[in-house]
Amino acid sequence: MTSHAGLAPAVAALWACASLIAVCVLFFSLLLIRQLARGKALRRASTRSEAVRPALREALFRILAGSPDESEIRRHLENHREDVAETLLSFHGTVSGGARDRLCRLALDLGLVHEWCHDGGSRDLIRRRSAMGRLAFVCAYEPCRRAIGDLLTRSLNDSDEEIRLASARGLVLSQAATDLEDVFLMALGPNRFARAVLAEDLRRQSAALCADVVPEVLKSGQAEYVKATLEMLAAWDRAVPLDELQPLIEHADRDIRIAALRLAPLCALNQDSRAAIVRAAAASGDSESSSLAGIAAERLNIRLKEKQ
Amino acid sequence: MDQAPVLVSALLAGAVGFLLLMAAASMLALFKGASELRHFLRSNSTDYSQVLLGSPMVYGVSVLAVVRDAAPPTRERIRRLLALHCPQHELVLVLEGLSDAARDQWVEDFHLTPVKLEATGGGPAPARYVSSEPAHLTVVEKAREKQNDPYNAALTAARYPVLALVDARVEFIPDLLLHLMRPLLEDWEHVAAVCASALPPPSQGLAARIGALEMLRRWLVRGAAFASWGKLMPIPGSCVLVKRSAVEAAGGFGRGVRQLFRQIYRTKQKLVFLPAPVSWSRAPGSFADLRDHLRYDQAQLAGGPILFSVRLLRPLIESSALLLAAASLYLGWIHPGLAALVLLASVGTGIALSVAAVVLRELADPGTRDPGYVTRLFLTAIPENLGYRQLRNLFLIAGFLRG
Amino acid sequence: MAGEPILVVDDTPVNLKLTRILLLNEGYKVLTAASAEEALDLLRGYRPQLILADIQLPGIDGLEMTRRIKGDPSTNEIIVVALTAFAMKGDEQKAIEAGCDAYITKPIDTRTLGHRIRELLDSRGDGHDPAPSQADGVQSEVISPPELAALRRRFLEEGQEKARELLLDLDGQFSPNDAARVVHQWTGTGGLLGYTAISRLAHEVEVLLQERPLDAAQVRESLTNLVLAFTSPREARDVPVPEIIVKSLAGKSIGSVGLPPLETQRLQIALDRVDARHLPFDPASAPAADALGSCDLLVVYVGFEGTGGPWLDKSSPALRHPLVLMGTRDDLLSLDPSIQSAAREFLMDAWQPDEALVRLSLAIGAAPGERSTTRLSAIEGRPRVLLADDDATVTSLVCMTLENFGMQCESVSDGRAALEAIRLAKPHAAVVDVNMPGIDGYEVLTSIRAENLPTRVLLLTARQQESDVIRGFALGADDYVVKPFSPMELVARLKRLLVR
Repeated sequence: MTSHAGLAPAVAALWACASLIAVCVLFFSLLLIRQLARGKALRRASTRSEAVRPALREALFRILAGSPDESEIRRHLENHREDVAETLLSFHGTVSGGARDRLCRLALDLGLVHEWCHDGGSRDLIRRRSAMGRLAFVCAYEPCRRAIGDLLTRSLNDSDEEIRLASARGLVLSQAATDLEDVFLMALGPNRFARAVLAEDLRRQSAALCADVVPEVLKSGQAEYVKATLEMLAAWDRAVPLDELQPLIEHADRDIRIAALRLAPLCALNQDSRAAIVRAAAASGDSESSSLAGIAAERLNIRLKEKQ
Repeated sequence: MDQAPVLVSALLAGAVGFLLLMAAASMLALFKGASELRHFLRSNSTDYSQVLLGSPMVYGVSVLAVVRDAAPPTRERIRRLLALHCPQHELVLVLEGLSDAARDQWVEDFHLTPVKLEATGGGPAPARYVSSEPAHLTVVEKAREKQNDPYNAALTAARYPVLALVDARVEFIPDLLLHLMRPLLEDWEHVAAVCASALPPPSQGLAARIGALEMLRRWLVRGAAFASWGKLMPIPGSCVLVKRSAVEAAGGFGRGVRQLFRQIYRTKQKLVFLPAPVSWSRAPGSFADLRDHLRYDQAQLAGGPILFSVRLLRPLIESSALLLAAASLYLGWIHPGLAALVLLASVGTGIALSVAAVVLRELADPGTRDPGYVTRLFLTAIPENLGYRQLRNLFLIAGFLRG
Repeated sequence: MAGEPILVVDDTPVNLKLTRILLLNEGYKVLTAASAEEALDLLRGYRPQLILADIQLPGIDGLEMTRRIKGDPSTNEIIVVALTAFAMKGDEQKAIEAGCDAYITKPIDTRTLGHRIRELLDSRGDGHDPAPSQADGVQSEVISPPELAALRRRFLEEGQEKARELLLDLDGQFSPNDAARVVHQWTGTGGLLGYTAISRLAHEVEVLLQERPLDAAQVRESLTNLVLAFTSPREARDVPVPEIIVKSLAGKSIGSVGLPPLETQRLQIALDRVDARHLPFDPASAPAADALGSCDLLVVYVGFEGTGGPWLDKSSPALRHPLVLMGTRDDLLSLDPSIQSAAREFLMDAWQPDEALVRLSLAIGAAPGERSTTRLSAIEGRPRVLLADDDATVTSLVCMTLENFGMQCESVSDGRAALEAIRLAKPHAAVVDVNMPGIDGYEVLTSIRAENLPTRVLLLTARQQESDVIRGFALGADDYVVKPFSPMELVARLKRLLVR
């Protein structure tokens, strides 16, 4: 026999549960229909993009190969603005020098740079990120730099790490001395990924950085910054105008000693530093350090010279 | 005698309450996971793989792999692991429990040379080989013993400060290590490991779609949602990049990946979940595959309160409630409404969760999947929860009791 | 003020020599002895203030020698410092019991050795300051030619013998730790003596010996290479700069005009590596023909003003001399075309010493012994260029650019196809990416040169491979361009190649 005392609550609970689940399923069904419709629209837009991009690339190839004809690009600008921008930026990493300048000039003439500058001030994080990444590309071209103004410099203090990195990369391309120093110091921070990316960008500015900021950091005594600096200098794999490495070759911190010895072959060192390498090579306390010193000795032509 | 119906009703009411609570918690986790996924996909992060590929600042990676046969697909997979893009990486391969013929196949295929070893105390040292091929490959041969021993053997032979574990059932892209490396480099001090997993591509068949629904829920909840709450759980078919120091601090791989994750959290280090399409599981092709996936997943999750509640308590209560409701209805002890309520709390909530997972994923990443497939997946929620779910519960209970 | 006299006793000649150099550098007077007997003999007529002695000596060991020194009233005041091996527990105690005043554990920390010796001497109240360094800076590396030759000879003989012993021991009683200590000495000493290959091989072996479990096959292979390196150090000598470039520049005088300090340093680094002389000229003074005659090649910096002053005037004799122009891309491009065409090579932007060596050797007209010597006959019709790159963007862009400049361009996407196409069509020039699937650009280049195909090769390298530029030229590349690149620059370089 069933208990009628529990019947009413059970039925009520049943209806409530059934209603809740039915509402849920109905809600998600409607949402699905809406999403599928949206997805269809997005796929249509994507298909249209795919149809127009080959033509845009061909047009850009012709422009980069020397043709002055920009009509194809301008023709698509109104209806495929985003595709034009994406196609322009797709040459990043392939071209440099005059070809890159042409792309930047085109972006400026088409009004894209001003649009990106506007988006660079947007509250929408995604829009801001996208804009900064694009502005970083065109910073190599002087007229674009004038148009961008100090937006990238201000963005070095943005709350988003990705935006700060994009801004830093753009500033490196612009080659302004004060900005280079700021970017270099930013690269010495704890974010090793940013340092790896910026090290590659800062390579071409190694001479300018070694004039002031690098020696200052190396003398600062702050071990983490010194290590990060030495690591970057070695990663650049370029001759650097540092002639005084002796305090670092004989530093108390082993990591700094090793990093300094790795760097030594890339420098034109003074006598004290060369003597320090001799001592490090002859030392038997640390095998890694003595073999790095031996290799540096050979590269720098430090020999047990004969008396003349 | 009059007490029985009351007792049964109370029990069933309690079971219904529990199931509804579990469903509500799961729904919350689904929403959280979808929100994280949407945020990640929209963040428009630039791909720096090519920059990292040439950077000397990227740490070397030792990829650890264990094989138990010499079949061509296995060897091909190892070749693909050797071809991963990374400035410095090696593959440490453990041949576990192989016959002489199978081992010889490896030796021939990879031009292996045996090396003499010093016994390091406590039993014979595992045989070891090096390859004369340009890619750095070290091979350790050992007999099959405890479950996670081969990974410990690989750890001993590894030389780099970062270890990679690539699940045997996983497909991956060549830039896998570079994508996994980024979160580690961004916060080397605090991030101990990065776990990457994406959903498998669409495939045909009811079993494949049911498997896709399971993976989707698992990915959104255990992956995205739990990672944001600092409770990331191992997901079958994921790739993990972990700092060697974290593994050594946890005492090696002896107690499984879940324990490793727990240890990492205990040391206040972070585990990052990467829902990027850099690695994904192969979709199950049959119900036998589904069963294997479940068994594999069960093994990864050994121990812990979440496992207990989700993998034992819920299936147990649900199965018991359904049986009790059916029996009680037959005996006339309960009102049909209560029986229907039990069914709703079990099947209905299951359907709601599955459809929610499908729709939330579409919301997070719209327009990337074939609408026909998405619709079929949506509708698969019904057969998934009417039949498959009940069998799955019995399988989970049996698996748990077997240990 | 004279430095204190110190006697060093060690049976390893190279260690003896190096310790002597270190102590000389600290300002002490140093005598050496290779055995305890020799040391005791020396002490009959010589009174050092301190003896630094290895306790493991052949014949009479260091402990016995110490006992005899301390037992003789005429020598017991001498401070005796024992050098003990770190792995030998109890050595320190034995040294103290034998009468040593102190001990230093091997391996010696050369940074603190001088200070330690100073402390010991001061503790005896003999507070003489060591001799100050010579006025021109102590040439700590200066030793007499016979000593240097003897040192090198001993290093090679000792090394060869010991390396052979280690090889034989691998099959029997082999102690990785002891072997690592022996090998370790060779890493630093080899570099100082100029045997880089030995230094690097020794380092490799040492790293292998420290791995656990020991990889015996690799150790065997590396030790074998080390034995060979000791036997034939000339063949084993690791010359990073290819021989062809060294030959073309060694002994030459390279003049420079107006180089900023950094560029001067980089040029000096480059010239040091090939034993070429650097002759700086005053940029303000007019170039004189006889002064120019003293240099084989002139490098002129094109500065901010856009010209090199009187040196790049159209009537300047410098323009008729082998000339390399240096400067930023913009400055070089703004030069008068007649001045541009007078230059044989250009060093642009942030060039590196390796690149400078390559371009200087090209400019000076190095005999292309390993390159194709087939002269291109006058090109009829459009020059044919093969482009090998797996990047579709690069191939489309470059092909279109070359076509625009009157060249015929065919493209392939992998190395194998590139080789086949070059063998078949024998294009005038090939632009080859070094990173291609299957056969890479270097292998393509090697095959082209090995088969003496008359095709100029321009390599496309990725940024991170700039250091491989030398490798490319050693294999016979005619020029290179680094990605990302300007298509116009590529065309300009190709044109120069085709008319060279």
